[in-house]
Parts: sequence; structure tokens; C-alpha cells
Amino acid sequence: MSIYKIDMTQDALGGLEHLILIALVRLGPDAYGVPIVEELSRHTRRPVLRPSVYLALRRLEVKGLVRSRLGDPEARRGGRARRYFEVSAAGRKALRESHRTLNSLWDGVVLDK
Amino acid sequence: MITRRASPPPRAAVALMSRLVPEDERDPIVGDLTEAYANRVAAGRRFNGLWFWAETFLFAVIRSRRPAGVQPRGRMTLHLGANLRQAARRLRFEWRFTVAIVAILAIGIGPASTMLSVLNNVLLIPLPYADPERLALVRIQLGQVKNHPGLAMDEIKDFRALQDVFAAVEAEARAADASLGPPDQLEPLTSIAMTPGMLPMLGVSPVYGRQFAESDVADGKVPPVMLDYGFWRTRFGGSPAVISTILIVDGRPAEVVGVLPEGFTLTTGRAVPQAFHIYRPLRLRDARNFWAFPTIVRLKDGVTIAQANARLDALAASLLKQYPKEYSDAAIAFAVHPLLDDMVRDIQPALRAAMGGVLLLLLIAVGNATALVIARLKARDRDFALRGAIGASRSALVLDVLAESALLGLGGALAGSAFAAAGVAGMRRIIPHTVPRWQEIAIGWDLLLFSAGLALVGLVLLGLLPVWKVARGTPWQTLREGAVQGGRAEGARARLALVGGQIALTVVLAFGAVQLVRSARSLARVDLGFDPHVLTVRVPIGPGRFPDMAAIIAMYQRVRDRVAAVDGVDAVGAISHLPFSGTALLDSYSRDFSREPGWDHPVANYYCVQPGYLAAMKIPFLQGRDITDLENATGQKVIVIDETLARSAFPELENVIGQRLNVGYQIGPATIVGVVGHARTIEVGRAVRPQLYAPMGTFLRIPLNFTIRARGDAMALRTHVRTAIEEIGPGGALSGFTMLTGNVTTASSTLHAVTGFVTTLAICAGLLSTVGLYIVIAFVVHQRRRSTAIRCALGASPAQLVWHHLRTSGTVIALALPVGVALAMLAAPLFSALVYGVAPRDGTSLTIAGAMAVVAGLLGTYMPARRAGSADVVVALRGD
Repeated sequence: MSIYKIDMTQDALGGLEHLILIALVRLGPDAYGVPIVEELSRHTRRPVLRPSVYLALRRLEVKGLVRSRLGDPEARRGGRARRYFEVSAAGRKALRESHRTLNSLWDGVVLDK
Repeated sequence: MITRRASPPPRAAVALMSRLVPEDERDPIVGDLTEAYANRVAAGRRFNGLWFWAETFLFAVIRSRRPAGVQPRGRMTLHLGANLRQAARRLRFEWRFTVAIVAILAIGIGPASTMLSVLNNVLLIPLPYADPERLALVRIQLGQVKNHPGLAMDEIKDFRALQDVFAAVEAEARAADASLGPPDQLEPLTSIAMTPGMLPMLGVSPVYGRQFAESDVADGKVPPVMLDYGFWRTRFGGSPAVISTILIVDGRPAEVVGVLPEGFTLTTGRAVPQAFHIYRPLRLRDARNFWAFPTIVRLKDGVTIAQANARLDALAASLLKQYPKEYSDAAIAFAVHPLLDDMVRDIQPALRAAMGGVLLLLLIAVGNATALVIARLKARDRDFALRGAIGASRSALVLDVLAESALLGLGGALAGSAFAAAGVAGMRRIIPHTVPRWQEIAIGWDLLLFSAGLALVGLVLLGLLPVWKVARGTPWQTLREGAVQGGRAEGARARLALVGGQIALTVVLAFGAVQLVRSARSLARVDLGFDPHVLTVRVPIGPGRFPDMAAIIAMYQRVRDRVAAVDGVDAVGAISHLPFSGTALLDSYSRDFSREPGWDHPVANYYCVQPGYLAAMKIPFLQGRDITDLENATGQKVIVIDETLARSAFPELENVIGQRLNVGYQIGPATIVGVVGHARTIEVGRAVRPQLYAPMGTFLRIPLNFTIRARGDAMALRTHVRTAIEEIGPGGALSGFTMLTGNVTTASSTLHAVTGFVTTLAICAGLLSTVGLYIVIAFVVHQRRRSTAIRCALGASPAQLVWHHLRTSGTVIALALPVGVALAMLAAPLFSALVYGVAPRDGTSLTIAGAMAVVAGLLGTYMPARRAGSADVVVALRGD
């Protein structure tokens, strides 16, 4: 079985996962589904598929890049609780790493048109 | 700020969502969606319910695409997307099975969609007039003449006086010939006259020019014309400049005042509205003795058909009191019928029969497909049992089956639509033009809709039985059974029952087909009483050419003699109304000479003929002789009657020659000079009314149709005949030049079309039943291959094995036959309105139908059963 076990923190960040991590940093500690999707929709030009976001959040949590906690039930949500997401220390590290990588990669690159 | 009442999202969608997401994520995710929904509502956005459903749908599709390596936190109970994908993969893998099911469904769905589309187009789509459901046609009963579609002009005025019932009452005159152009280059046209208010009542406006006005029919005014759109395009190049130009119609100038919109037809009393070249205004004169003006009314808002008819009953009663002479104290009654109902009345039985056949075939196809699905499911029994054993929930298994049925149903719908599109295209070709609104029948979106609807029905039927079987499955038993036993034919009973049902339905469909085929055959064998193999030419009289009736008669006699002299012509005759032309004159007759016979007396069809017509048509003389040229030319009151008239008017006399008969208002007292056989001229299937033939001097200015019998090919003589007639110069534009046989064929074309259609359905049904039994028996053979092998090893002969299977299906067939016969008896009224010359529940037809079903069944058994005997014993015993 060990052959299949991959250290997921070593895995490269997926496109959507990357975007979500940045959105979580922007939103601060009280981020949950609704604002996350709104934040992503505001910045991307394509429609953001809500289920994909939840799946990506789940993957990030499995990879240890994101922490989550349950809130209290709310009437506005039909008596359901929120799940708040927060970037973990490993997540910050991964973001910093990718930021650095991207910056150095982009350095001096000019795209035609 | 505007506060909105926070309405919760759709409950069903919430419930579905809750099932879609794993339990531990349910609160956050459903809560998020609910909150986002509330935000949308608060922001005043629209379609929020729809949005919620769309989001739910996304979850259904996307959640199932769980990447490998990520374990779900909870059990996913509903996996619609995954189920569909798995089912698709399975169906692609077992493509033979898929193709078979889709083909079977298409065979059922295709014709059903075609027929539904036809029904929709013919029966349901409203007529192309404004507010068409308030339009109604008037039919009148005059004594024994019932449902006559023509009013007398004075009656139209009486109707108009009922202003609280009718918003408008407008009439048309029967179609007439017209000639366009100067005398040396005449073009034959068809024309019809309508009261000036007709088009405004129908809500139709000319594309160019103006409507007719009452002033157009004023005294001393030359009536203008309106042009048919198609005629305007072809003859006048579609130029708007045609308005106000003067045409020469029938030798008289007529101003073009309007062009009618494309596709306009006038719908009054005739089943198939035809387009005419030109339309003229009709002037209502004072007359109460000529019932020839089909009338449409527009009911006032709020007035029902029943209320209108009640008022018309009162009108009839008062008219009868007021004009006893005109109505001859006979029963008169008026009734209005919704225009569309009236149009499609005659075609209803044919449509009913076709629709019945189509539904039977659909049932057979669905039964067949279900049997196949169940058979395959049986093969997957162990798969299901295994999945159930390791924890798959029952609903997961049911969903699995449902997903497969859904895909198959969809495939069937698509293939069925393609089939139906082809069917509609074919239908347009074979559908007789006697079917009202045949030109409306087209391939449209409705086809896809119908197919989808039918597929859904099929899907439910197709899905339910297997689902039930899976849902009640007993996994352990199944697992044990496969391993140890030789394979019992368990579940075969349900499949055999399905096949039995198919055989029973096949009997019904085959019975209908046999009945119709036999009807068509006996109708084709009917002795019409005349020989229709004649060339017909319509010879109208040019206006102002002949001073009086004597000159016209003389001219027609010259035409006859000139055409008779054409090489190859055998005999020539002429008549006012051709057989099966759809029009005929009616008049009453009696032996009472004290007064003109009115509607209280029996009526006969009345024809003006030229001497020689009866002989040319080979209508046999039973007594006496034909009218002579001299009698014809001098306007003698002599008539030839048919045998039915002789019998009904003079039941006590053997020989009626020399007797006198008082015939209607056209002829008056006349002497009978001859008796001929009855000629069927209205309906092929029955003698409608007695007939009498009078010399043409009795009827003013009615153009004659010449009937020309040739020694060889009559159509080849057309140019010679035309030249011959033009030499005499009657002055009107000649038209027609067709064989009379065409009229006869048209008269029975509906029956022939339905017969062809239902026969095709029955053949499909037979094939499907054969295939159905084949599948089931083949499966049973496969299931029992081990026990068969053992029996073979013990010395059973192949013949014995085949016999064994034949006995199984023999039992099924024996049980299904009586059911089928009973169903056929019940379904007999479906076809009885079309059946001719056969009893509605004819025993011979039933026997033939039963035999066909038996042959189909046995054929389906024998083919797979033969394989049982030839199986390799060792392979069969080893295989599991």
C-alpha cells in the first residue's frame, strides 16, 4: 500500500487550490463558503463552480494546507452551521514558495500582446 | 432599505442537496447555499429558485467526480452522474444489447410519434384565422337531406338578424370555372365568390390592396377580383403593381383590388380547403329556394355553440311557419359546428384506427424491450448479489438500473425521432389529399417532444419491472444458486408473461390489418355501375357567345360529334357533374302533380346529361332508351332514371317506361323514357341516393364535362381532343384532361392509406413478437445449458430438446391466443368505421390474425431451441 501513499504537501498546488489559498489569505480568519466563492468570482473571469470549490477545499485540508472549524447554527442558513477555513502554517509556506517561484519565473518575461 | 421576506429555497432541492453531499459536510455546504440564496433574494435578483436548482444539479454532477486518493468522509447515497457514466460505459461495452433495445424502442416510438404529430397537426393546431374557436359552420337539414352545408341567401340574412348571437355571418358561393384573358388565349382558372365581410370576419387582410366592400356588389358595378398569393407570384411575377390593373375574366373586365396572404384558403364545408386562383365578391340576392351557399358564422363573445343552436331551433320553427311553401312543411333544422370539428369529422375514424394501431405497436415494443432488459438483468444477478453482499444499498442498485433505463429510453427517443421524421416525410407523400389539413403535416419540434414523452412512458414501464426485481432481490440465494445448481429457469415466467402479452397484442394488430386489407380488397372489387376508364375535359361556355340555351345545346352537340370523329375515340358523352367530383345536384321527386315536390319528399341526385353519356360510361340500360338529340335540343321534359329510383317511386310497377314523375323545381313533371343501372358516384362503398338524368336544356348555363372513351390510351388523345373542341369554339378555357379513374382512386384513398399504414404496423408487431420470443427462449436455452448438456449426455436427442422448448412457448401461445382474441373483439370498433364488406368481428380475419401470431411465436422459439441440441456437452458442463 505504501507505494500509493504520496506525501501530498509535496504535491504541486492545483490551479483552483492556489486561487483559493490566496482568497483565504485575503479574507482572513472568518472565511467560509459564501465569501470564498464571491471573492473568487470577483477576480476570475470564468464562472466558479461551487462544488469544485468545496472539493478543492477538502483536498487542501487533506494536504494540510488549510484548517477548518465548525461555527454555530444560524437561522439565516436554515439552522445550519458554517465551516470556517483558515490557511495553516504549511499553507502559508506553500503560498510563499509558489509566490517566490512565480515571481522569479515571471522576472523579465514579456508576453507578446 | 426595502426588506424582503426571507423565503426559503425550494424544499425539494434542499432535500436533494442534503442527500448529495456527505453527512459531515451537509451543514456547511447546504447552509452556504441557503445563505447565498438569501443574499440573492435580498439583493432583489430574479430566478432564485431556478438558480438553486441549477446549483443542486451542479453538485449532482460534480461531486461524483471525486479524485482518486481522497477518501470520502461519509457514504455518498446518491451518485446520479456516476451512475449515468457507469451505465453508459456498460451499455457501450454491451453494444449489441444496446443497439437491440434502442432499435426495438425506435420501432415502437417512431410510428407513435409520427401519428401523434399527424394528429396534432390535423386535429389540434388551430385554423389560421383570428380567434378560430369562435368560428362555426352552418349545416342545415331539409327533410331527408341532412347536414347539408349550404344555406339559401335569405336564410343568411335571417342569421344576420340574430345580432345577439352572431358577430358576423358570411357566405361563399360554390367554386366555379373562370377564363382569364382575351378569347384567343384563354387560361383556365378556378374562382370562388365570397361575401365582402368574409375576410374581415376571418381576420385575414390582403398583403396588397384592399378588402372587398359592400359597394363592390352594388347595382351596376363591375365586380372586382382578389388574387391568390401563389397565382399572383407565378402569373404576375409577384409585382404589387398588379393592384388596380384590369384583367379580362370570362370576357368581362375586372379590377384587381387585392392580393391575399400566402397560404390563404377558405374553409367552408369541404373537408380539404383548396386555394382558388381568383376571389370575387358575392352579392346576397333575395332567394329562399336554392341552398348552395356555405356559411360561416362568428359567435358573439360569451355565446356557446349550444346557445347558438338553441336560437337556431327557434329560428327554424318560425321560418317554417312563415314560409310553409318554400320549406314544404318538411322538417328543417339549422346547426352550427365549430369549424375545425366539422372539417375533421370524416377523417376521425381513420385517424382513430391508425392511432390505435400505433399504440398497440408501442406497447409491444416496450414489452419487448422490458423482456430483454430483464433477461440481461438476470445475467447480472450475481453481480448485484455480490455488490449487495459487500454493502451496496438497495437504492444504489435500483439507481443503477434506473440510470441504464434512462439512457436506453433517451437512445430510443432519439432514434425514434429520427424514425418519426422519416415517417412524417413519408406520410406527407402517402397521405391522401382528401385528409383535411394534410399540408399542415410537417416535421417539427413537436416530434421530438412526442418522442421524448413516449420514451418517458416507455422508460417508466421499462424501468419499473427490473427495479422491482432488483429491489426484492435475495443476494445469498442468488450467489449460492449460481455456484451449485445447473441453473434454473428462474424469472423465466415473468419474461414469458411479457412475451405472451406481446403475442396477444400482435393478434389485435394483425386482426386490424387483416380487416383493413380485406376491406380495401372488397372495395377495389366493387362494381361501380360504370366504367371510369374515360378521359374527362371540362368545357365551359365563353360569355356572350351564345344568345340562348338552344345555341348552347347545339354547340355542345357539335363538340360531341366533332370529338367522336377524332381517330381513336370510341364514345363521347357529357355530364354536368362528374362522378366522384364531390359535387352533385339534389332535387326531390314525387308522383303528386298537384304541387311542386318539396323537402317533404324523397330526394335524388340529379344530373344533366347529353345524349350518349350513359352509353359512353357503359351504364347499362335496363328498360327503354336514352334521351334523343331532338328531345335534348327542343327541351323536352324527358328523364332517364336509375333502378333504385324506379323501385322506390314505382314499387308496384314492373315497367316504368312512359310513367310520369314530378321532379323538383328545375324540371317539373317529366316522362320516363329509360331505366339504367345505378352508378356509384358519391361513395365507392355504398349507393347513396337514387339518380336521375335529364337533358341539359333543363339547367341553365352549367358547363359540361365531356367523358371520352378511347380504343387505346385515352390520355394520348389529349391534343387531338383539344384541337377538335377548339375548332367548334365553346369560348371558355378548357381544363381537366384527366382520367376519371383518378377520381375513383381519390374517393377510397383514405382507406388505402390507413390500410397500408396499419399493415406496416402489424408486420412490425409480428417481427417484434418473433424477436421477443427469440430473446426469451434463447436466454432460457442459455440458462439451462448445463441441464441440457446433462440430458444430452444421458442420451436425449436434439429433436427432444427442441420439442421441450417448443412445448414451453406453445403453452405461452396457447394462453395468449384467447386473450388476444378477446382483446381483438374489444378493439374491433376501432376499425369498424373503416371496414367494408367484412363483418366488424369477422371470424376468418380473426383466424388469420391468430395464425400469424402463432407462426411468429413458433418461429421465435424454433430458431434458438435448435441451438440447444447442438451445444457441446463438455463446454456447457464446464462453463459457469
